[in-house]
Amino acid sequence: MKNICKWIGLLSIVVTFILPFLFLLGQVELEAMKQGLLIATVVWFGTAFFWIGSKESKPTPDGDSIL
Amino acid sequence: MKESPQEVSESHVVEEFETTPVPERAHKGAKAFWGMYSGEHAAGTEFMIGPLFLLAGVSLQNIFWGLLLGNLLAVLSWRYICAPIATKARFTLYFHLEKIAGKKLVKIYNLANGVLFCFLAGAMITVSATAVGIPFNLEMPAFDAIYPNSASFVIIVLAVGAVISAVAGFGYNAVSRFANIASPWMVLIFLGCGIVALKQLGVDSWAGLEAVWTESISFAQGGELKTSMGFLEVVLFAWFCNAAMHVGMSDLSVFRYAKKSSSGWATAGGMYVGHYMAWLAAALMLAAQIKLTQSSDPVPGPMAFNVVGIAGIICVVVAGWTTANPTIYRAGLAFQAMLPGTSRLSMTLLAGSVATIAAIFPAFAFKLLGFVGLYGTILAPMGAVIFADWYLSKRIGITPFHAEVSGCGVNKSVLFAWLIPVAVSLYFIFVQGITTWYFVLPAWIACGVLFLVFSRMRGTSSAN
Repeated sequence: MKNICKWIGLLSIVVTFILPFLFLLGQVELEAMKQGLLIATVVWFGTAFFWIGSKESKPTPDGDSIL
Repeated sequence: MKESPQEVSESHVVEEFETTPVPERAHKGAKAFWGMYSGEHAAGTEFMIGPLFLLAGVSLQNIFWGLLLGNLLAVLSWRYICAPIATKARFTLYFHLEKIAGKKLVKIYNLANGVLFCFLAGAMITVSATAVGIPFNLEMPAFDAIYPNSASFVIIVLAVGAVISAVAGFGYNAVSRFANIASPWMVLIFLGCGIVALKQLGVDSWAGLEAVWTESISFAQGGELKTSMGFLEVVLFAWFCNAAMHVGMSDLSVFRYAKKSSSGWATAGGMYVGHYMAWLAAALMLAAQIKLTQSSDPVPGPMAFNVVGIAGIICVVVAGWTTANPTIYRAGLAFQAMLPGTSRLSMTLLAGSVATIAAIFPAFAFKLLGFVGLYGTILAPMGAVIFADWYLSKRIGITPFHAEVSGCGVNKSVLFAWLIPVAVSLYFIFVQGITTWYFVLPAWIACGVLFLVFSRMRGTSSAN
């Protein structure tokens, strides 16, 4: 299950990467690209929770970068 | 910092080595830092900063080359100023500074940090609110707006701020995990925004892009072509945008885990993804918006919606939310340190309330370029104290870690070395109206020099 989610998630990320380039090259229409990105987004968040582990650290007052 | 029993038990699990050097077994390779920096610098504020360059009338060439050089200088600052000390001392900024400046002074510095964090988080809440407002047909505030333009805007900001503050107070771990998951997707959405905007601009050459860019500036400035930022200003802004983290030594806390100081190069991932690609993408989004809708208001939600649709709205909300959360959490910790006996939850909610009130005023988000410079001017000089103490104190006969050796709560040499250049800078910024990012480097150098001079004059062998 975890592996399947991982591969589907990675596929959705590849789609997220490729779709804007396809629009740039005139291979897809703007609305189709927007819908594709939304579907890829839903798939990514739907699958990534199953295989991307939790980050256990809380930020210290001066920890992570924020800008 | 006083902690409740619950905090103490949590801290053993998640906040290790706060008062001891990080041991070798906990050291991490460079790969961990590349991932961390690349993701964390693609934040909600990037949606604001990029368009503000266009509105400031910065030429396309100055943006491309200025950001390239400024970000390189930022990377070099991390690599050669912050990371070497971090990998030798292996302390957090606060513990390191406590040894030099004293516990009480560090609390004051921490409070300044917390207050500035609140305003930064406020800008992020505003950014998120502009996206949340789209389904409600919210009328967005204009670029020159100081006050909210409608009751609906206030209600949406209050709702977004309440949710973000509550989550920062009650469910930080869940947001942290969500931020990890969102990070690679967000970077690609930023990239997608830039590519789609480029296509919408309808250009096929550099000259064409430059012409459209100049037209966009002219439109935004009501037919004029004036610039408040040249090449030098862009370089300084990009360099000192995160001054508190590199020359200000905040990231000692991060790089204390690095095996080698060469891990400092990993910040290039954050700079060139978040502060180059994402800023350029966001700037192109505004240019596309001007062309398509004749609106030059740099409101992130509608801009992202125009180019990539609902995914863009989600990206703006997520980018603002995931970065506002740790910021409010940290501000809460800073307030808690100043008010012993209070709970972390109540202080986080207080910080969230301050941030939410700030978010109601869109000017905080729209004046972000200046605010970021102010943030660096106030906080970064303390890094010069650490730098001077580490490399120069022994050479000129000063005892390193003076506060630790003498047991003083406030090292007055540090206090005045910090306050004098910051006060002079604030005078020029607020009274003379000079741009903030000119003062970060002079204040940093002055603070380091004054610290050495005052320490030498006062002597360091007795408690001061």
